[in-house]
Amino acid sequence: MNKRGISPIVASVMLILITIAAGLIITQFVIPFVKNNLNRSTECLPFRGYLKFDESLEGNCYTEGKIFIVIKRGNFEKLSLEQGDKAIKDADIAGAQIALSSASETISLKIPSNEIFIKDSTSKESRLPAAGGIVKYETATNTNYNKAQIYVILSNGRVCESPSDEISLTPC
Amino acid sequence: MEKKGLSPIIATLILVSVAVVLAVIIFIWARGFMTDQTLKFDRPIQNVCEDIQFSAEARLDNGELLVSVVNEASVPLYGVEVRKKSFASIEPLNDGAKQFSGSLNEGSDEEVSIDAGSEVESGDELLVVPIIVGESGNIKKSFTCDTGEEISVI
Repeated sequence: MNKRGISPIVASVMLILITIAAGLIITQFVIPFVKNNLNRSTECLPFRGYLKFDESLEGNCYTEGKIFIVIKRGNFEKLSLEQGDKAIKDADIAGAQIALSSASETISLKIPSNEIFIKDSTSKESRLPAAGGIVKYETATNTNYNKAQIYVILSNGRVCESPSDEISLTPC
Repeated sequence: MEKKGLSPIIATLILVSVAVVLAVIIFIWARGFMTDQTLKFDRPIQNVCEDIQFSAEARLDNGELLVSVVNEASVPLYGVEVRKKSFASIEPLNDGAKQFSGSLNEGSDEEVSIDAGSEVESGDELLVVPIIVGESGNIKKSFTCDTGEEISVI
Protein backbone atom coordinates (compact mmCIF):
# COMPACT_ATOMS: atom_id res chain seq x y z
CA MET A 1 0.00 0.00 0.00
CA ASN A 2 1.30 3.45 -0.88
CA LYS A 3 1.99 5.70 2.06
CA ARG A 4 0.22 9.01 1.49
CA GLY A 5 -0.55 12.08 3.57
CA ILE A 6 1.27 13.32 6.65
CA SER A 7 2.91 11.01 9.13
CA PRO A 8 1.16 10.30 12.44
CA ILE A 9 3.91 12.12 14.36
CA VAL A 10 3.57 15.29 12.31
CA ALA A 11 -0.20 15.08 12.63
CA SER A 12 0.05 14.72 16.42
CA VAL A 13 2.48 17.64 16.70
CA MET A 14 0.19 19.79 14.55
CA LEU A 15 -2.83 18.89 16.67
CA ILE A 16 -0.98 19.77 19.87
CA LEU A 17 0.21 23.09 18.40
CA ILE A 18 -3.27 23.96 17.20
CA THR A 19 -4.67 23.15 20.66
CA ILE A 20 -2.07 25.33 22.39
CA ALA A 21 -2.73 28.18 19.94
CA ALA A 22 -6.49 27.89 20.48
CA GLY A 23 -5.97 27.93 24.25
CA LEU A 24 -3.81 31.04 24.04
CA ILE A 25 -6.33 32.85 21.85
CA ILE A 26 -9.16 32.01 24.25
CA THR A 27 -7.28 33.11 27.36
CA GLN A 28 -5.87 36.28 25.80
CA PHE A 29 -8.85 37.57 23.84
CA VAL A 30 -12.09 35.66 24.30
CA ILE A 31 -12.17 35.52 28.12
CA PRO A 32 -11.38 39.25 28.64
CA PHE A 33 -13.90 40.16 25.93
CA VAL A 34 -16.66 38.11 27.54
CA LYS A 35 -15.74 39.40 31.01
CA ASN A 36 -15.92 43.03 29.89
CA ASN A 37 -19.28 42.55 28.26
CA LEU A 38 -20.65 40.61 31.22
CA ASN A 39 -19.45 43.32 33.58
CA ARG A 40 -21.12 46.01 31.49
CA SER A 41 -24.39 44.12 31.32
CA THR A 42 -24.51 43.50 35.07
CA GLU A 43 -22.88 46.54 36.68
CA CYS A 44 -26.22 48.36 37.05
CA LEU A 45 -28.07 45.41 38.61
CA PRO A 46 -27.08 46.05 42.26
CA PHE A 47 -28.39 49.62 41.99
CA ARG A 48 -31.97 48.77 41.01
CA GLY A 49 -34.10 50.64 43.54
CA TYR A 50 -31.02 52.18 45.16
CA LEU A 51 -32.28 55.73 44.55
CA LYS A 52 -35.97 56.22 45.26
CA PHE A 53 -38.44 59.04 45.42
CA ASP A 54 -39.53 59.42 49.02
CA GLU A 55 -42.92 60.54 50.27
CA SER A 56 -41.58 62.28 53.37
CA LEU A 57 -40.50 65.94 53.56
CA GLU A 58 -43.53 67.04 51.46
CA GLY A 59 -42.06 66.90 47.98
CA ASN A 60 -42.47 65.33 44.54
CA CYS A 61 -44.76 68.16 43.45
CA TYR A 62 -44.82 71.28 41.28
CA THR A 63 -45.87 74.82 42.02
CA GLU A 64 -45.46 78.14 40.22
CA GLY A 65 -42.07 78.02 38.55
CA LYS A 66 -40.61 75.28 40.77
CA ILE A 67 -40.51 71.52 41.16
CA PHE A 68 -39.66 69.82 44.45
CA ILE A 69 -38.21 66.32 44.43
CA VAL A 70 -37.41 64.16 47.47
CA ILE A 71 -34.79 61.44 46.95
CA LYS A 72 -33.90 58.63 49.30
CA ARG A 73 -30.58 56.85 48.85
CA GLY A 74 -30.21 53.24 49.90
CA ASN A 75 -27.14 51.91 51.60
CA PHE A 76 -25.03 48.83 51.55
CA GLU A 77 -23.07 47.59 54.55
CA LYS A 78 -22.36 50.31 57.07
CA LEU A 79 -20.13 48.35 59.40
CA SER A 80 -17.28 46.12 58.38
CA LEU A 81 -18.17 42.46 58.43
CA GLU A 82 -16.96 39.54 56.42
CA GLN A 83 -17.72 40.49 52.84
CA GLY A 84 -17.77 38.78 49.47
CA ASP A 85 -15.05 39.41 46.91
CA LYS A 86 -17.23 41.79 44.93
CA ALA A 87 -18.53 43.94 47.77
CA ILE A 88 -20.62 46.77 46.34
CA LYS A 89 -19.96 50.11 47.90
CA ASP A 90 -22.06 53.24 48.14
CA ALA A 91 -19.14 55.07 46.52
CA ASP A 92 -19.67 53.12 43.30
CA ILE A 93 -22.11 55.75 42.03
CA ALA A 94 -21.23 59.26 40.92
CA GLY A 95 -24.65 60.85 40.80
CA ALA A 96 -28.14 60.65 39.41
CA GLN A 97 -30.05 61.73 36.36
CA ILE A 98 -33.65 62.86 36.77
CA ALA A 99 -36.00 62.81 33.78
CA LEU A 100 -39.00 65.13 34.11
CA SER A 101 -41.84 64.50 31.67
CA SER A 102 -44.98 66.33 30.63
CA ALA A 103 -47.40 65.40 27.87
CA SER A 104 -45.28 67.21 25.30
CA GLU A 105 -41.66 67.11 26.47
CA THR A 106 -39.03 65.44 28.65
CA ILE A 107 -35.98 67.09 30.17
CA SER A 108 -33.02 65.59 32.04
CA LEU A 109 -31.31 67.07 35.06
CA LYS A 110 -28.15 65.76 36.67
CA ILE A 111 -27.19 65.66 40.33
CA PRO A 112 -24.70 67.20 40.90
CA SER A 113 -25.22 70.16 38.57
CA ASN A 114 -26.30 73.78 38.79
CA GLU A 115 -29.78 72.89 37.51
CA ILE A 116 -31.10 71.23 40.66
CA PHE A 117 -30.03 71.80 44.25
CA ILE A 118 -30.92 71.07 47.85
CA LYS A 119 -33.91 73.15 48.92
CA ASP A 120 -33.03 76.33 50.79
CA SER A 121 -29.31 75.50 50.76
CA THR A 122 -27.43 78.75 51.05
CA SER A 123 -24.84 78.00 48.36
CA LYS A 124 -27.22 76.10 46.02
CA GLU A 125 -25.60 72.84 47.06
CA SER A 126 -26.12 70.01 44.56
CA ARG A 127 -25.16 66.52 45.68
CA LEU A 128 -26.77 63.17 46.31
CA PRO A 129 -27.98 62.28 49.82
CA ALA A 130 -25.41 60.48 51.96
CA ALA A 131 -25.96 56.70 51.98
CA GLY A 132 -29.20 56.04 53.84
CA GLY A 133 -30.23 59.69 53.75
CA ILE A 134 -33.22 61.59 52.36
CA VAL A 135 -32.89 65.02 50.73
CA LYS A 136 -35.41 67.47 49.25
CA TYR A 137 -34.34 69.24 46.04
CA GLU A 138 -35.76 72.10 44.05
CA THR A 139 -35.40 73.16 40.45
CA ALA A 140 -36.79 76.16 38.60
CA THR A 141 -39.02 75.48 35.61
CA ASN A 142 -42.05 77.04 33.94
CA THR A 143 -43.44 73.68 32.81
CA ASN A 144 -45.64 71.57 35.06
CA TYR A 145 -43.97 68.22 34.58
CA ASN A 146 -46.18 65.45 35.90
CA LYS A 147 -43.79 62.49 35.95
CA ALA A 148 -40.27 62.00 37.24
CA GLN A 149 -37.85 59.12 36.78
CA ILE A 150 -34.47 58.71 38.42
CA TYR A 151 -31.46 56.92 36.93
CA VAL A 152 -28.20 55.97 38.62
CA ILE A 153 -24.94 57.37 37.20
CA LEU A 154 -22.11 54.94 37.94
CA SER A 155 -18.65 56.07 38.98
CA ASN A 156 -17.40 55.25 35.46
CA GLY A 157 -19.84 57.85 34.08
CA ARG A 158 -22.35 55.40 32.64
CA VAL A 159 -26.02 56.25 33.11
CA CYS A 160 -27.96 53.06 33.83
CA GLU A 161 -30.67 52.48 31.23
CA SER A 162 -33.42 51.28 33.57
CA PRO A 163 -34.90 53.83 35.95
CA SER A 164 -34.17 53.19 39.60
CA ASP A 165 -37.61 54.60 40.47
CA GLU A 166 -40.40 56.74 39.04
CA ILE A 167 -43.23 58.82 40.49
CA SER A 168 -46.15 61.00 39.40
CA LEU A 169 -45.78 64.66 40.35
CA THR A 170 -48.82 66.47 41.69
CA PRO A 171 -49.55 70.15 42.41
CA CYS A 172 -48.05 71.21 45.75
CA MET B 1 -18.99 -6.85 10.27
CA GLU B 2 -16.01 -5.20 11.90
CA LYS B 3 -16.90 -3.24 15.04
CA LYS B 4 -15.57 0.33 15.00
CA GLY B 5 -16.08 3.46 17.05
CA LEU B 6 -17.38 3.89 20.60
CA SER B 7 -19.83 1.58 22.23
CA PRO B 8 -23.32 3.10 22.80
CA ILE B 9 -22.79 2.96 26.58
CA ILE B 10 -19.52 4.92 26.47
CA ALA B 11 -21.04 7.44 24.05
CA THR B 12 -24.05 7.94 26.33
CA LEU B 13 -21.79 8.34 29.36
CA ILE B 14 -19.70 10.97 27.58
CA LEU B 15 -22.81 12.88 26.48
CA VAL B 16 -24.26 12.82 30.01
CA SER B 17 -20.93 13.92 31.50
CA VAL B 18 -20.64 16.82 29.05
CA ALA B 19 -24.21 17.90 29.84
CA VAL B 20 -23.58 17.75 33.61
CA VAL B 21 -20.34 19.72 33.35
CA LEU B 22 -22.05 22.38 31.21
CA ALA B 23 -24.94 22.64 33.67
CA VAL B 24 -22.53 23.05 36.60
CA ILE B 25 -20.55 25.74 34.76
CA ILE B 26 -23.72 27.68 33.86
CA PHE B 27 -25.07 27.34 37.43
CA ILE B 28 -21.84 28.63 39.02
CA TRP B 29 -21.67 31.49 36.50
CA ALA B 30 -25.31 32.50 36.94
CA ARG B 31 -25.18 32.27 40.73
CA GLY B 32 -22.85 35.25 40.79
CA PHE B 33 -25.61 37.46 39.37
CA MET B 34 -28.25 36.44 41.86
CA THR B 35 -28.29 38.55 44.99
CA ASP B 36 -28.88 36.23 47.88
CA GLN B 37 -31.43 37.54 50.30
CA THR B 38 -30.09 38.34 53.73
CA LEU B 39 -31.94 36.34 56.37
CA LYS B 40 -32.27 36.58 60.14
CA PHE B 41 -34.25 34.08 62.17
CA ASP B 42 -35.02 32.42 58.79
CA ARG B 43 -36.92 35.54 57.67
CA PRO B 44 -35.98 38.34 55.26
CA ILE B 45 -33.97 40.70 57.44
CA GLN B 46 -36.07 43.79 56.56
CA ASN B 47 -39.13 42.07 58.09
CA VAL B 48 -37.21 41.50 61.35
CA CYS B 49 -36.81 45.29 61.67
CA GLU B 50 -40.53 45.48 62.54
CA ASP B 51 -39.89 43.47 65.72
CA ILE B 52 -37.21 45.82 67.02
CA GLN B 53 -38.05 48.00 70.01
CA PHE B 54 -35.54 50.21 71.73
CA SER B 55 -35.30 53.54 73.49
CA ALA B 56 -32.54 56.09 72.95
CA GLU B 57 -31.28 59.31 74.46
CA ALA B 58 -28.68 61.73 73.10
CA ARG B 59 -26.62 64.38 74.87
CA LEU B 60 -23.70 66.56 73.94
CA ASP B 61 -20.47 66.45 75.91
CA ASN B 62 -17.55 68.62 74.72
CA GLY B 63 -18.35 68.19 71.03
CA GLU B 64 -19.03 64.50 71.43
CA LEU B 65 -22.52 63.19 70.89
CA LEU B 66 -23.29 60.44 73.40
CA VAL B 67 -26.18 58.22 72.39
CA SER B 68 -27.41 55.65 74.90
CA VAL B 69 -29.58 52.81 73.68
CA VAL B 70 -31.68 50.29 75.62
CA ASN B 71 -32.84 47.22 73.73
CA GLU B 72 -36.45 46.44 74.68
CA ALA B 73 -37.11 43.48 72.38
CA SER B 74 -35.63 40.10 71.61
CA VAL B 75 -33.85 41.09 68.38
CA PRO B 76 -30.15 41.63 69.19
CA LEU B 77 -28.84 44.99 67.98
CA TYR B 78 -25.41 45.16 66.36
CA GLY B 79 -25.13 48.93 66.20
CA VAL B 80 -26.95 52.15 65.44
CA GLU B 81 -26.82 54.82 62.78
CA VAL B 82 -27.59 58.37 63.87
CA ARG B 83 -29.21 60.68 61.31
CA LYS B 84 -29.87 64.38 61.68
CA LYS B 85 -33.29 65.69 60.72
CA SER B 86 -33.76 69.11 59.18
CA PHE B 87 -36.40 70.80 57.03
CA ALA B 88 -34.98 69.56 53.73
CA SER B 89 -33.04 66.44 54.69
CA ILE B 90 -32.62 63.45 56.97
CA GLU B 91 -28.97 62.43 56.62
CA PRO B 92 -26.54 60.28 58.58
CA LEU B 93 -23.89 62.12 60.59
CA ASN B 94 -20.38 61.76 59.15
CA ASP B 95 -19.34 59.50 62.01
CA GLY B 96 -22.90 58.29 62.54
CA ALA B 97 -22.69 54.49 62.17
CA LYS B 98 -21.47 52.88 65.38
CA GLN B 99 -21.03 49.28 66.40
CA PHE B 100 -21.77 48.15 69.95
CA SER B 101 -19.03 46.38 71.89
CA GLY B 102 -21.04 43.17 71.45
CA SER B 103 -24.56 42.20 70.45
CA LEU B 104 -26.99 44.28 72.51
CA ASN B 105 -29.54 41.79 73.79
CA GLU B 106 -32.96 42.37 75.32
CA GLY B 107 -32.76 44.49 78.47
CA SER B 108 -29.15 45.54 77.86
CA ASP B 109 -28.02 49.10 77.34
CA GLU B 110 -24.93 50.75 75.89
CA GLU B 111 -23.70 54.26 75.16
CA VAL B 112 -21.89 55.04 71.92
CA SER B 113 -19.79 58.13 71.32
CA ILE B 114 -20.02 59.99 68.01
CA ASP B 115 -17.57 62.68 66.95
CA ALA B 116 -20.26 65.20 66.00
CA GLY B 117 -17.99 68.26 65.71
CA SER B 118 -20.22 71.18 64.75
CA GLU B 119 -22.78 68.97 63.03
CA VAL B 120 -25.10 68.73 66.03
CA GLU B 121 -26.34 71.30 68.52
CA SER B 122 -28.52 71.03 71.58
CA GLY B 123 -32.19 70.76 70.57
CA ASP B 124 -31.48 69.22 67.16
CA GLU B 125 -33.76 66.39 66.09
CA LEU B 126 -32.09 63.03 65.47
CA LEU B 127 -33.25 59.74 64.05
CA VAL B 128 -31.55 56.70 65.64
CA VAL B 129 -31.78 53.73 63.29
CA PRO B 130 -30.88 50.19 64.42
CA ILE B 131 -28.30 48.05 62.61
CA ILE B 132 -28.72 44.29 62.82
CA VAL B 133 -26.79 41.34 61.43
CA GLY B 134 -28.12 38.64 59.13
CA GLU B 135 -26.66 35.95 56.92
CA SER B 136 -26.53 35.70 53.17
CA GLY B 137 -25.33 32.21 52.39
CA ASN B 138 -22.34 31.81 54.69
CA ILE B 139 -21.53 35.51 54.74
CA LYS B 140 -22.59 37.71 57.65
CA LYS B 141 -24.01 41.05 56.57
CA SER B 142 -25.06 44.09 58.52
CA PHE B 143 -28.40 45.65 57.66
CA THR B 144 -29.55 49.17 58.48
CA CYS B 145 -33.28 49.32 59.12
CA ASP B 146 -35.43 51.94 57.41
CA THR B 147 -37.13 53.34 60.47
CA GLY B 148 -35.92 54.23 63.95
CA GLU B 149 -36.44 56.28 67.09
CA GLU B 150 -36.82 60.07 66.85
CA ILE B 151 -35.12 61.94 69.69
CA SER B 152 -33.90 65.45 70.53
CA VAL B 153 -30.38 66.27 71.64
CA ILE B 154 -30.27 67.35 75.28
